[in-house]
Amino acid sequence: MNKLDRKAVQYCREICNRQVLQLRKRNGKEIWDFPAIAVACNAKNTPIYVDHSRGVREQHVYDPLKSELKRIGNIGESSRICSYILGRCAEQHAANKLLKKHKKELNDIYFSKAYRPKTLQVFDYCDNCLYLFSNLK
Amino acid sequence: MRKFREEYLRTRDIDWFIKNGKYHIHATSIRGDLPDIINDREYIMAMYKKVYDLHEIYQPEEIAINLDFIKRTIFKDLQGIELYTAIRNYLPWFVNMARKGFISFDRTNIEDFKDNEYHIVAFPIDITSQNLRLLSDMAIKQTKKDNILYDYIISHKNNISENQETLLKEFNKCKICHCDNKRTLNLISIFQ
Repeated sequence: MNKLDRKAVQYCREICNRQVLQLRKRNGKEIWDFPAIAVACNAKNTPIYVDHSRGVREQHVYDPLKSELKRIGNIGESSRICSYILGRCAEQHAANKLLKKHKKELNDIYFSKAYRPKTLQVFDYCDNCLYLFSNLK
Repeated sequence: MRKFREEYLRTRDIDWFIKNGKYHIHATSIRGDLPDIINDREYIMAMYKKVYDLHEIYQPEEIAINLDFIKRTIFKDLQGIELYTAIRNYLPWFVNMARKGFISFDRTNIEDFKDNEYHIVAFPIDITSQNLRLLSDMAIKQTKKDNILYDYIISHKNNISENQETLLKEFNKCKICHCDNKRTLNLISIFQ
């Protein structure tokens, strides 16, 4: 298992522990629903970033990811390529975190496998992400 | 009653709970739909808390794992140590729920969110009246028709044997269910 996959698996365990901690605290906050997918990414000379599948707001997406997403559809809607909502994928969120701090191109970014946090099953990458990130092929 | 929006369900892996006759069902949605009867944010949140507080009422040797199906369908592309590592990562969530008294299902085709076929992962072999009493206090929503799952569950219960899978390690006390590897159910349409 490479370091990206190890980091992604570690993040999955943190996700599972997070819900347990919230349930223990019962501090009035809504219990967090498990995300479906978690992933890790990095580029040359950057740390590893992790994130999970969740909602998106266009104003929080950074270039070059934002401009590439807009090539294939509207952020927050299904794309021309596949039925998954643009901007919501774990891969896109993790890459966005990296792009917020580092000036990189999308084909500079490497990813772990896409894991289901509860069971560590591996998901296939969706067609949107395969189009956006050449290193996913 | 606040429903989950479809876009939200596609990014989440939600545990949902329902009662059918004497069977208490747990299922994980993994990007799929929820039955209308339990698509209620307050209900789901309340159930998370109640289930978390439940003690485990079954020992591992009182739980059966649907191992043949998991090997042949969920992890059909894996073999050897890689297969058993994947299975040992897959089981804990569902075995934990089964030990609390639930028949624990997972959505089978995780790549296609429109496919609402589910399979049993783990279940208690004998559901005693004592255990039913503990779960009946939880106000789990009941399906309209009783015992829809009776034949399906009985077919699993009738195909249980001792566990000779040494590579299952922490699950080696659980029994093994040898059920037909094509047995799935569309829980969403059944419970509508």
